[in-house]
Amino acid sequence: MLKKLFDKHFHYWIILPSIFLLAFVVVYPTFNLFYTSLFMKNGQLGITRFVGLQNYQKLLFEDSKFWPYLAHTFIYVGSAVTISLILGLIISNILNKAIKFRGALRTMMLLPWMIPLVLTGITWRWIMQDIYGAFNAILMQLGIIDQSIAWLTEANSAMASVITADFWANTPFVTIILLAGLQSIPDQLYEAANVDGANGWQKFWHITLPLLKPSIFVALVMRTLFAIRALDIVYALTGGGPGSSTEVLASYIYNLGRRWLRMGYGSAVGVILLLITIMLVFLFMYILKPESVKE
Amino acid sequence: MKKLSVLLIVVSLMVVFSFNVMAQDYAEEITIYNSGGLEHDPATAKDIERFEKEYGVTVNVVEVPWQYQIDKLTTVFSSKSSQVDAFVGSYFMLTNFAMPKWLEPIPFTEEEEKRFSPGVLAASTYKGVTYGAPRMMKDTQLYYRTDLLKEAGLEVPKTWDDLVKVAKALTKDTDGDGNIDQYGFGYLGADKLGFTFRTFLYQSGGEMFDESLNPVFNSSAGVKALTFMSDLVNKHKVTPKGIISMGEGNVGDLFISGKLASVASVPPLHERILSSDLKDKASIALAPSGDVTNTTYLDGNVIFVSSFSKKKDTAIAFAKFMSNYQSSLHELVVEGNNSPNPHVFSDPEVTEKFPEKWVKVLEESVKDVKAENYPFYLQVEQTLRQEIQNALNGTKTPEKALDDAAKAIDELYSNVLGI
Amino acid sequence: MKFGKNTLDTGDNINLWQYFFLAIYIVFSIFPIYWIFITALKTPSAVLQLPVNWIPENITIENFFYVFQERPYLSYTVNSIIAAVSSTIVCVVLGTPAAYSFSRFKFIGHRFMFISVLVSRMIPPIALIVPFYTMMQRFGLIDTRIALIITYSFFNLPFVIWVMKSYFDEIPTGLDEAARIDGASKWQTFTQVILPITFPGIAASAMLAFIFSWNEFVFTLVLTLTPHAKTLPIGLMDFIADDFIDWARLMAGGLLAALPAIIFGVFFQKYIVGGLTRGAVKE
Repeated sequence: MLKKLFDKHFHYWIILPSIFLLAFVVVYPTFNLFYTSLFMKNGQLGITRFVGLQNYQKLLFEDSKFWPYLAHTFIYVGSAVTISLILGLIISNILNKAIKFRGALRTMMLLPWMIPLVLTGITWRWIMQDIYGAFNAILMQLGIIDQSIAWLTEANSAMASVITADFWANTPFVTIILLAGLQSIPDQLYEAANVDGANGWQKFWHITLPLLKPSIFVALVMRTLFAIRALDIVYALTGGGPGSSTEVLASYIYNLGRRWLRMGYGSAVGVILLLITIMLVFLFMYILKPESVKE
Repeated sequence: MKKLSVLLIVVSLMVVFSFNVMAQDYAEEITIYNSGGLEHDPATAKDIERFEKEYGVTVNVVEVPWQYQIDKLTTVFSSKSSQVDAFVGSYFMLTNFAMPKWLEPIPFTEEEEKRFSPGVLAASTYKGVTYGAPRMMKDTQLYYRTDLLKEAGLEVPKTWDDLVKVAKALTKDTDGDGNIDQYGFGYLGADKLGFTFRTFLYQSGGEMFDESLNPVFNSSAGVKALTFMSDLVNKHKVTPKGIISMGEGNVGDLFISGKLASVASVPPLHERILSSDLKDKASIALAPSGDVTNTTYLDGNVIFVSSFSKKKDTAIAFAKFMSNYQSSLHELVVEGNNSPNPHVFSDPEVTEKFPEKWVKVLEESVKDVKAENYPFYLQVEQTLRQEIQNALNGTKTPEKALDDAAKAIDELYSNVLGI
Repeated sequence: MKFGKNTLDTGDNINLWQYFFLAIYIVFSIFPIYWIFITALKTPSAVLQLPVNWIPENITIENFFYVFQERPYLSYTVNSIIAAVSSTIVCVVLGTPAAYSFSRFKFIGHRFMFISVLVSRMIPPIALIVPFYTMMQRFGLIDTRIALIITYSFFNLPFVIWVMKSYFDEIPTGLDEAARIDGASKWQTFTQVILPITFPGIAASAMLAFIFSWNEFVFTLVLTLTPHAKTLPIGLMDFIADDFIDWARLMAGGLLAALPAIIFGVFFQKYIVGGLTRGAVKE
């Protein structure tokens, strides 16, 4: 009897523990985030005052930081995610083939991801540094430049350094997801294509890519989620500088909420970031239409 | 009359007695947050041990990474937790924690206050209340290579003009490959740009804020200070551009690796010099003075007591203990940090360890230090840092950068404080 | 149990361009790690010597010993391993069945629940710090490994569910149906038919959960105080002070912090091969 009941509601039984756990963390903080964003709440002054949607009004129409920081966020997330996705796609396809020392190569490919992020940031900072940085040393020894360049002191090169450090650290993650996805593509499809005389590119384009869509979607969304909130690398590498050229919304929220204690305003930025993230994810769903979310 | 005086005596005896009992009735243990690992702070470790022995109190030390100390304490205090009794913080944290009333005032007696240099005591005070017990301080001195100066036949620079001249002479291409590989001068950048700017600002007679909290650092003195910082990098080219993104540690690395002939830095550097190859090739002098003063900005470690603590008396006793003569002496002798207490410089332990000249410079430099405390310190600091970087990498002129910073800060104050 | 021939045969070999690309990518990946490695082998005074020595001269392994002798590195390592492994187990054990359910069954609230799982990971984590701290404090869990295990599990469970669901989705439902027709219960179908062929997916999601836990910084920083619960990334910060960075020891400490993760990665990447058409089904 019990067994039968278990079988009948099987789908609920195996899902409940997870949902229960997650609900515990999701419900209250989310509610709290929206709620706080309606207040002027300043921890420094000890003020909490209901202001309705004023925080949003201020944020969207008066704040001179919000739009530039949003733009930086898009540049940073857009480039870092795109590059790591393309690299991951290529590398996972290569490393999935019969290749000598495949295990060793895969391990080497994985290494950057294993280095603690704090160390990644601080090492890249050292590498990109003027005068005694390793990158300048290489370029000079190869004769590409003859005077060391202060990469972290100009807006564009600082942003490029941050993006590089980010996809250096995170491409392995994309590669792993895609590599796992590649395993589920049946060999028969390739065998059939071989019979039809398809070349490598055609097989990639017509078999691998479409069948890999669910994994690409997962990798894309997860990378975006992480990049959009990442501060470790930005903070260790540039501290948001020079000027405010590498400040992103995540660092703005961090500063507002945790350092400057403008909790209400910080929550409003948090809500906006949450909405942007949700919109992005739905956009990806719409474009990729992966089976994994389409019922 | 007689009755009254007897009563008075009895009362005062009771007060004294109860005060004594209270004073000796310390908690069994307190918890303090230290910034960074204790073995990087051997002097702090030593003083904590002394405190434990003398007061019979166990001190639990929680080591917090220094960059995240503010964030972690903010979380603890936001939840009104009594977990922390006292912490070793920095002067610049004061308004951040004093405004929301998270700090307990430290009731120094007049006698105790005399320990400290007036500038340091002012830096520990906000709106007339002393919240911090000064333990050590970082103020700016000039660190320079004696061998290089001697070789070029130059004197130690005493003013900004001297400094430019000397730095120009020492900026050179030593191996003849067409690249500059030795720069004449450096200062602290990145997160320490505000620190550096304030020293130059005070030296040219400026101030950060006036009495009614209007930003005045964009005065002519401020523009002069920032123009000087920018000229060193962009016009005279005696300071490497990378300085903009290098903090105290990185700039120290540059000096130790021989890429800088001189640097305006803070006392922990002299401890690094003494344990490096430059030991006999470097010395220290007062920071070159500006047109108006040779005041330098100060920061450093100070002990704060949490207002949520349930063991305030013990924590206050701890704070006082950690800022007494012996403690400041240890900071100087063991770690090389400058002392907020000018009396320790004549201590035999000090004169024995350091070259006479170093001690003199440090002693002299403590006499003229300054720091202002104003609301929203951290936010003001970030704005200032951003605009200084904009000026240094040529995105804005110094005037425009400072005006923009002043405007942003003015807006912040009028929006949030309503002034 | 052997997983058959361990390559997916698309019928092509690697061409020269791919070799070239791979070589460049590997150099790019390895270079900063090489830099970390040689710095860790240098004496503190040699670290800042210029011009840069690409092959260090006076090699010393003292930095590695220092890290273990002078710092509570052993307890950091133990904490890291316990917290990361436990939360990985929790995530995989809870997440895999949930993902299977999301993938195979349509039921009331199905879509809503799945979207909620996604959204739970989109909330800016900064919004969660103070609620988490307060909650852990109320339960007396500050500075315990349990707090870390709970936190990491919360964070990684949605990912595991998600990765596993996309993986289950790629497996044809025909397999389930065939098993059901043979009279297997749903539970049996799941554990005996589907689960064995999802090994690559499980390995990949275990790796994700492990590495994310291993490197978690912001929450661990807030929730831990002493070597009782501090993990390696937090311990690593002890080498960084504002006046100077102890480069050689920081790098040595960093490598030691990465080592268990690397071992874990090497172990699990072996299973990310051969899924559906060969592997366990055939055995």
